[in-house]
Amino acid sequence: MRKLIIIWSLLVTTINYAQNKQLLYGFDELPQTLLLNPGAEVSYKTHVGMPLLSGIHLQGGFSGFSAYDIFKDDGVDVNIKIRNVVDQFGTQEFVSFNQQLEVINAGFRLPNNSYLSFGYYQETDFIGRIPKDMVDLFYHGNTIDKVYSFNKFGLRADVTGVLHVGISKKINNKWQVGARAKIYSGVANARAKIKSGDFYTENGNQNVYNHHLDNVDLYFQSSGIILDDYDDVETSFYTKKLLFGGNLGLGIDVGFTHHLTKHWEITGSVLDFGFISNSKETESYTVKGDYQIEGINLFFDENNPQDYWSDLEDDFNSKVVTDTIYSSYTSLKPIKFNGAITYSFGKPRTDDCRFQTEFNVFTNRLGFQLYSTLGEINSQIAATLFYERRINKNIRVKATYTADSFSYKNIGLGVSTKIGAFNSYLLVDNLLNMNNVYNAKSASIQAGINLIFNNKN
Amino acid sequence: MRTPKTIFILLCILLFQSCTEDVDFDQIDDASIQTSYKLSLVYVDFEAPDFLNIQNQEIPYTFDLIQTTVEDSSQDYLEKIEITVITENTFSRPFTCQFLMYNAEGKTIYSLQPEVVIEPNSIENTTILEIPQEDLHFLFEAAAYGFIFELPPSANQINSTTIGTLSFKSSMELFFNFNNQ
Repeated sequence: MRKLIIIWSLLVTTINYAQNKQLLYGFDELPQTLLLNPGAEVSYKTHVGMPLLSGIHLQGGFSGFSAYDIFKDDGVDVNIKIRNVVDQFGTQEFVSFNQQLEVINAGFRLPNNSYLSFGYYQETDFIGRIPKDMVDLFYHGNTIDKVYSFNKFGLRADVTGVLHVGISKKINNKWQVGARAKIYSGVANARAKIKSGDFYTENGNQNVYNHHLDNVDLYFQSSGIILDDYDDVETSFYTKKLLFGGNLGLGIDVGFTHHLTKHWEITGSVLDFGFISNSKETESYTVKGDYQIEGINLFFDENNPQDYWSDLEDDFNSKVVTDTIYSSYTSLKPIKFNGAITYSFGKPRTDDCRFQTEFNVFTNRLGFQLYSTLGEINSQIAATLFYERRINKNIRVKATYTADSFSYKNIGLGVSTKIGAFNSYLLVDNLLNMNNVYNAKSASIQAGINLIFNNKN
Repeated sequence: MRTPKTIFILLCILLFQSCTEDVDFDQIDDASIQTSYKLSLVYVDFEAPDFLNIQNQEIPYTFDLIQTTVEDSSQDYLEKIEITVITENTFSRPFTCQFLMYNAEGKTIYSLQPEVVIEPNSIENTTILEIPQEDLHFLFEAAAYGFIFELPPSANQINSTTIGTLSFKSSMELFFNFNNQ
């Protein structure tokens, strides 16, 4: 069982990265693109996502090493391979996981030609930042006079239900703008960060070693995780929280599409500008202080026996102060930015009536996308080159090349098909690792099924 | 129709080619992370009055105790403990030192061997003691840890006019082997 857990953990951590959805952004007017840019253009009359199947998204990654780095069957001692990956561990590495499941997604065109979309999705998001010093301390033990800094450690975990409604409005032939309001229902939230803290051991004066814990400043905040009694917790406890029985919050997305010329367009969006007010089952800790110890000084005084261990604990607790706080706190969602510049060219060979309502009908789209996220634990940036092509009236494909913190060779491919009102899409990245998935440090997959009705359907 | 066919073939190549290279997850059975952590333990500096009773007579031994228990969560991976003792004795008489472990009832359950012999007038002397893996369970069963300094019979007994110090420093190194066994 333990082996399975280890293998599962390694596989999970090697199949994903943050929340960049470079393949989905702006692709084929899919209804889900409105979640990435509420100001995206869509030409259809209405859409209904297949409940629970309209948007399935899994994304994850670990920047440190891949499962293949350790488990490749090459005759080399596994412990040498472990040592190699530890030695090559960067100053700080990231592990992340993101999962989204659309429960409901639908939309329709309003009489004023704006497009209203709404829905509900569930999201699980985790990111952890691991400093090398922490790995070194675990793997090599405490080396004398080496300072171990933990101030890069951080983690954030969220399980949230999101109800959203958005509108995409055409201002004129050049501008389309949109906004989406969100109500977050937080099931569980945890945040931890070591703002500062060093540990080192040096040769002592009074005793063999002198241990130092310097400038410790860390916090841990949680809601919905530390409960009074776990025995009575049932599934309904969490489902109620997903459906607005949890810690509530508000957020907004905004976005635009601007046609510079007939061929050139730029788009942009800011997502999840919002917060969750965590007030239920909250428990937080802050730890601050300094400590230094050379060991326990024994007195051998039979007439005055000492409670050395209790005294040591009291001394430690008075100098490294832990505060337990039960008050509510506000957690900010990591803000995401998307931007793209696109050049469209080439007329379609069959300009069928299905596409005639679109703004400009071109066969090819070539462009550059930027994605970044700002968060208290981690901020990231990714750049993508893409090529999108309408193969025929039913099929559209998009290929991407992305460079991010995890890889400079992330190739992705997306396919969207429309047969009548039936639309399905599949988007997969990190294709260069398809011949050996164990060697992938990150990957993502998105898939979904929608019913899209145009004016003539 | 040529382009869709090309795309279809490319997709098939990408998605249905062999998706893995040879990996052997059974290697996890051979994986082990061996590491050690160094910690200061106890220290004391004795002077002559510390070895005299109220009649200024030399006592046969002196004793002290640390009462605590040790969490056994890491016991499965702890391989051994090495205790390093550094002594410096300017008295003209020898001493011996013993580490003992007691259970909650105060009964001795373990005595670390061999006892540390501190020679007269010895400058910095290092002794390394080991608690082997088979004895580690005593560490987690103990409720108190005792330290006894004995003063064996000597022609150079300590009295109220004796000048000297016995310096005792100690540390331990915990050797872990994290593995899947």
